[in-house]
Amino acid sequence: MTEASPAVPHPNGAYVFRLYLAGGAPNSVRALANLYAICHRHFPDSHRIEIIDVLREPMRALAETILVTPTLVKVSPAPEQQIIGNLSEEEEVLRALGLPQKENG
Amino acid sequence: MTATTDARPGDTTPLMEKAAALALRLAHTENALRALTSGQVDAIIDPEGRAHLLRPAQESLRRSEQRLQTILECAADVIVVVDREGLILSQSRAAKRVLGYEPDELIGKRFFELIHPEDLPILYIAYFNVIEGFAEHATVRFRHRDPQGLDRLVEAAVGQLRGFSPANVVLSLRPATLAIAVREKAVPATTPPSSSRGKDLFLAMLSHELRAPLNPALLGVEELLDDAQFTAANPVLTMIRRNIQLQVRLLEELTDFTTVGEHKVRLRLEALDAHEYIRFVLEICRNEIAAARVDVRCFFWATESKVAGDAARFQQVMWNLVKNAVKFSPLGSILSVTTINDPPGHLTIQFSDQGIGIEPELLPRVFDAFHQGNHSAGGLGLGLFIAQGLAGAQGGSLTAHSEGRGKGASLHLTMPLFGLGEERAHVEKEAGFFPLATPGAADAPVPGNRRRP
Repeated sequence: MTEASPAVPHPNGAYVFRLYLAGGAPNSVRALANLYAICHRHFPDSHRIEIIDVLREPMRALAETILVTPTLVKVSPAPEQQIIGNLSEEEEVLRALGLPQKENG
Repeated sequence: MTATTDARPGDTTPLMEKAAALALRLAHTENALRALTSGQVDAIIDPEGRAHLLRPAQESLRRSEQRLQTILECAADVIVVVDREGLILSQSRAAKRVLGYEPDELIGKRFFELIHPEDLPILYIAYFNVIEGFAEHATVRFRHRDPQGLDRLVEAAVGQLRGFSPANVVLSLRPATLAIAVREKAVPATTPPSSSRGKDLFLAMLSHELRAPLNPALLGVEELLDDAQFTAANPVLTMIRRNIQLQVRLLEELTDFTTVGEHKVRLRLEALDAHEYIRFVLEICRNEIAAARVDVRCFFWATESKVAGDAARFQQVMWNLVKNAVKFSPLGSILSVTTINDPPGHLTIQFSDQGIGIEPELLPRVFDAFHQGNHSAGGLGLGLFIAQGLAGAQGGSLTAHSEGRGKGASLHLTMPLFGLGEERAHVEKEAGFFPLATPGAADAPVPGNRRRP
């Protein structure tokens, strides 16, 4: 499930996300798909996504005080921020994570 | 307050950090709650670090709808939804059986146009009482025209369908019961309705009434059993379910009895190997036999074992007999099943137990409905009554023998051998049930017969 292992900043100093999800549950699957879409549109060459399945590694979620899934954490650039839900509202996701928005089009 | 203002700046920083962390945590919780209420969460992590998967709302909605649909399809009654003006909006599948209409054939038709004009006033009254809220439910009987133009006598419970605007009406229709049909037919005064028929009708109604509340209770219990929240209560819930199921079974027995009373069993006589059936029925009852630690011994002495009987009914008779014998067998006793070709041209199966036996004066009564002797062994006391009726219907007989109290009992099922009464073999015949119990009933008009070509 894990696409990129360490939570170290990207060499390019760009965007690192950690997505906590629950196996193949509907909201989790949707969140993952939405996250891929957002990343490919906004930071095609400078992102890294780490996926944590809480059904397999619940203790990791607990360590980071994750309450529910799906939760997306923006690890870098600092500050660390998070958003809960299936990430279907792209603008809201970008705003919540404090990310620059491209002009809509 | 003053203390903090006096404190050096270095002391307040950790406090501020703590406050900021708390605020962040609060914000996360709030977000989690918002996501939860909008259905965007599929798992919750508890403080012990366990992840709990939530059943997606849509999935559970779909399942409950499916369940409801199944209930409607399986219900013995037709459920028809009609609007204020009598336009049929929906119908369930039983419409075919009860009213003779194909699925969806009734939709869009005017319900009142399918009713016998003479019966309209009474239906109108019930309908409008319900739709105007004067009565919660009303039960009426009327003649309903089927696609072939024949009138079917049906009974309908009329109720208002809440939560719809404008108000709709839900009708639950079933074939009307025997007594009404008899009245309808205007029985000649010379054949008074037998008292047993009144009893049958009462029982038919009673069993229906008693069963109705059980189904929702059963569904409720099953739902709770499915629910992970109530795992701790599972043993109790299982016990409740088992008892409801038992109750349903008892009521089914009662319904069996009433079908029997209505003389409406269709038989197909064919050659059946009695020995094979005995083995099969003993196999079905294996758990009960093992639980009672009864030692079953078979003595197949009959050389001719092919009897003329109706497969399902023959099996039912033997099933009832085995269950009866096991029920009255003491723990660890012997139950012998013996077959002989006696009297000539017949096969007799003897089920002999070592149970409490039957006192001579009570022997004639063991086949009476609801007779249980001086003991309560569970059940309704209908097993032998049904068995005797079914045996008689197939041309056989069932008798009880006992040396007296404490000396065990023996039930003898005698069936004609196949091939000796060829004219009866492979013949579908409508059985007249219980000639003993209802001597006058065979002559009385029966709706089932009246309708059949």
